[in-house]
Parts: sequence; C-alpha cells; structure tokens
Amino acid sequence: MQAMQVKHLSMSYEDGKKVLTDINFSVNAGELVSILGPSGCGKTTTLRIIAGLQRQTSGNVAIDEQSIDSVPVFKRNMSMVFQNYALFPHLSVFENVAFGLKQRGIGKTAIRKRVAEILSLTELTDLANHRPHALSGGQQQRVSLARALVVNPTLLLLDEPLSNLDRALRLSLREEIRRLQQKLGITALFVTHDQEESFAISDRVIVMNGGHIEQIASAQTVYAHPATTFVAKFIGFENFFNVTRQVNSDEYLSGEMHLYMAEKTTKPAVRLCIRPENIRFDTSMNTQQNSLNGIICDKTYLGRAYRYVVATDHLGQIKVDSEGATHQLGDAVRLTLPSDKLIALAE
Amino acid sequence: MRQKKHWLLTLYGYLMLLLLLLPLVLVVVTSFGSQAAITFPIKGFTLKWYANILSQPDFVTGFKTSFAVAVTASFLAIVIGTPAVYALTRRGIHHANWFQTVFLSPTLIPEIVIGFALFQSLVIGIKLPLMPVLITGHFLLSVPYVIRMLTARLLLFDQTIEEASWLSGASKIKTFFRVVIPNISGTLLAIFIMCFINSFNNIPITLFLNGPSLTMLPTAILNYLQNNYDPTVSAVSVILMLLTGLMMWLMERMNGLTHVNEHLNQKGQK
Repeated sequence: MQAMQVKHLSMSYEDGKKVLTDINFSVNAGELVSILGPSGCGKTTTLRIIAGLQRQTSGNVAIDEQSIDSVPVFKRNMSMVFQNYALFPHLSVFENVAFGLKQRGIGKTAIRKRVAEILSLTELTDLANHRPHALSGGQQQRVSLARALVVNPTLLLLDEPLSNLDRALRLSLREEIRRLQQKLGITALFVTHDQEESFAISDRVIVMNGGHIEQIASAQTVYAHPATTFVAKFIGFENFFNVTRQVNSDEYLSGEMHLYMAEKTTKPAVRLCIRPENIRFDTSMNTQQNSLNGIICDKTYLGRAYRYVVATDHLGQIKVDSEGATHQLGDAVRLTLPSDKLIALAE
Repeated sequence: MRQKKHWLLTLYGYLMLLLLLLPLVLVVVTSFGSQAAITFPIKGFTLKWYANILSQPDFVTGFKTSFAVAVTASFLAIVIGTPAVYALTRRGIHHANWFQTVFLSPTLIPEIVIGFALFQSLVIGIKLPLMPVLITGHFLLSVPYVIRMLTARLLLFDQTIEEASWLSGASKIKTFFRVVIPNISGTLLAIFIMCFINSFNNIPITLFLNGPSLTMLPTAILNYLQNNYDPTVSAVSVILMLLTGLMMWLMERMNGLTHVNEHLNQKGQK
C-alpha cells in the first residue's frame, strides 16, 4: 500500500531559480526509502515540502491518496530527525520525548508509560532527567529519534541525521534506526549524501541530482545497473567510454575499440562504463574480447587496493584497482574489461 | 585562553577604572558629611541626609512615579518589541533592514529632540495628559534596546528547534510561548532591567514632560539642587547607585547578557 505519494512536485524561488523539477515518487507503508544526492540537489527541500515546512510551487503531496497540501505542519502527524538534533534546550530528555504527546492532549499517566517504553527501546532510560547540553552528540540524536518515534508518526522524516557524528557512531546509530523502523513498522524517508549509508539502511533508493530524480530502485539495482551517467559517477563508476556507434545490441564501438556486452541492451546507449575494481590485468597476453594494451602512468596506494592509471592505446586513460603491487610505473600491461561488468548508459 | 598581560596595559586599565569610579566615591563620601553644604574632605559623620530624603515629598513621590513609569515603559517595550524582533528574524520580511533602522532610530535622534517633539505634538498639539506622553517617550527610549539585544539572541537560537516543535504538533503561537520564550527568558529579563535603568535615570525626555502635577526623581533632584546645595543629593545618588548596582548584579546572575556577548564574540572571530 502506498502510504505517501509525491506527484509532479516543482519548486522555484522568486528569482526564478528552479530547485525541484517534476518530482514523482511514493513510499509504501512500512518501507524505508532514502533520497541520495550531492548537496544542493534538492533532497532536503523535497523533505521539507513533505513536512510542510516549505511550500512547493506546483504539484502535491498525498498521504493515503489524500492531498495534504492544505494541512499545516503541526497537524501532519509527521516526525523529523534533524542533522543538528534540534532538541528543546530548556527541557529534560523525558520532557523532550513527552512534548509531542502533550500537544496531542494525552493524559499524564499514559504519557509517562509511553515515554518510558520508547526510552528503554532507545536505551536512554538512565538519561531521562538530563538536559540536552549534558549529552554527547550520539545521545542527543538518540533522544531526537525517540522524540520522533514516540508519537507513532504517519511518516518519519530523517534529514542527514548521521552527518554530524563520527564514523563508529554513524554505523551503530544507522543500524539502530533501521532496527527501530522495522520493529515499529514505521514508514520513513531518509535523506543523505552518503551512498553507503543509503544502501545499508533502505529498501529503495531515490537518486537525485540538480532538482530532478535520476533513478528509483533497490540499492542492489542502483549499484549494479545505474540508470544514468550521473548515478554511475555518484556510486563509484570511474571509467566511461563514449559510444561512437552501436554495432549490435551487444556490441559497441568506442573509437577504434570494439566492446562486447554480456547482455543485450534494450535502449541505445550513449556511453559504457565500468568500475575500477572490475577491470583485470591479463598476464597471458592472449587476444581476448574486450582486452587492450596500455602503460602504467600512475600508481597510488588506497589501503584496500592499489589504484593504477593505465594509458591505453584505444580508450584513453583507464583507472584500475588491484590488490597486487606487482606493476610499476612505465610497465606495459594488458587489460580486460569483463563483458558482464560493462554497463550501458542510455543518458 | 589566558594570556600574560603587559604591566603597562594593566596599569592603564586600573587608571581608567579609577577615573570612572573616583567621582562616585566622592559622592558616597560627601553623603555622610555633617556640614550643610557639599564639601570635600568631609567634617564629622552623619546619616541625617539619608533621613532628609524621606522628608522631601518631591523625592518620595518622584521615586514612586519614576519607578512606575520605568516599569510600564520597559514592559511595553518588551511586549511590543519581542513579536517585532521575532518577525524580523524569522519571517523573511521584505525590507527587514529598513524596519531595523526605524526601530533603532530613537538612538540616532538626540533625546532632547524627542522630548521636545513629543511635548509639542502630543501635549500642546492634541492636549494629551502628561503621563501617557511621558510613558510613550520612555517607551521609545527602550525599544532600541529590545530590538538590538533580542535580535542577537534570536539569531543565535536555532530555528530548527522551532520546526521540531511544529512537527511535534505545537502550533506556531504555542511554539512561541512554550519553546521560544522559555529559552530567551534570561535575555528578556536582562533587557527589562537595562530598559528600566535607562528610563529611571533619564533626564532629557523627562525634562519636557513633567510638571507641577507630575514629579520624576531625576528632575526632582535637579530642582532641589537649584535651591539647596546640601548632601541630601549625594545621599539620593548613593541610593540610586545601590539600586542600579543591585539590578546589574541580578542581570549578570540571570546570565542573559552572556549569551548575547558570546554571540557577538563569535561573530567577531569569523
């Protein structure tokens, strides 16, 4: 069931600058969808329009098929977790979490019971009487999460909630958010610029760029089959070859080089791409499909692998990640681009 | 970080402090002198001038009126100024800078001109009684303080906290009273005290707007000085100093100014 739909959402500033262009997507009940994109791509604006904090220029937002554009922010029954926590400084942890329930006119004993439940679920019971400023960043964000969950929102909105935390905390809180979201069956929309974060946490990923949507798919699909050049670049494809001519549905010509695909493409491609870690060094020097000669012109240690830059005779510079340290600057090598790892991009 | 200070700078600092405080010390000392005129050094020691304050009806009623006017004007300035500042800092109002300038303009116009203008237009012109005009004058005097100090505080106050409150189900008005006000109450009290002190000690505006039926303390002191040169005036001054000092101390305790100063410091460092 679709819990929330966004239809033809557009937004531009008074000076005519377009922030969002025709955004369409939906979030199913109990699903966690993330919006992934670089800063300034319009992901936060989309979230804020759904929350009612900003107004769209056209299009609408609907909950259970009902448009909520005329519903003010404080009546939308949504919750939001902010990047900078945004806790109420003058209230204790308990009072922060109880705030939303109080606004809903719930009785004192019921509030106490419900808050205690959520605090224990988020492991904050011991901190109930502390003020926000006495807590660490990670604790503050857990309070913020508890405050968002306690009201049982129709939609939970998370705006870069992990970006202010250090890496270890980011990972553990990420898992906690996912665990609670699934346990409580909450529908959630998660905004982030971090590819790994969005893949790890969500059922589906929406990739945004320049105010429009580039791709909506599962993390696996986005990773393996990026729909556009932008998506491919954003998720780690670093070698792009312009298509000069399509020879067959599975054979392309890039300059002088014939490139064969494992699968036939349905749409004509403008570009082929491949990740650096999927390219192999060939020791046999046999003539194979998709192989070509080159000379190592740069070598960098990345930790997990060495990054080689190879000047090839047909496809320009190609980046290759390999665990072996065997090749040196100036070495002549032979590369193979596995046909099942080549991705065709239609735009 | 604590830096080692140069001895010359320290000396200079103390010298300035002495320069500022010496006249006050003289006033305190002369208030205890038993001679009928203010002299220094004093001869003898007496508290009779303090007792004499109470036997001067102008001082007693002046104190009461000044107190009432200062409280009313400061209160009005905060009640009217706070929503204005909130709108200016939060709502992306067109020409916000222009409004800021208008609100701050009483500090740019000489107070004596404001006093004269109010007297000319409201008292002579439309024959309003003195009291409401006097309060208006002191209100105008106080508004710039509210605008200045509260703008700094509200810019410092994270707007997403208000958004979190709206999303939690609190209307914008409820959020203003339940979330914004409790977080700026220290600053509001500090502003109130600042306005109060300013209004209570004001002469230029008050001078035009008092009369036989309306005695204010600062003008009462001036009048008294014209006829008598005895230490009663010193004694009144000491009382006023103590009152002001007490309020400054209260203000510091409320921590209201610290926030504003921190904000200004942060801006200065950027």
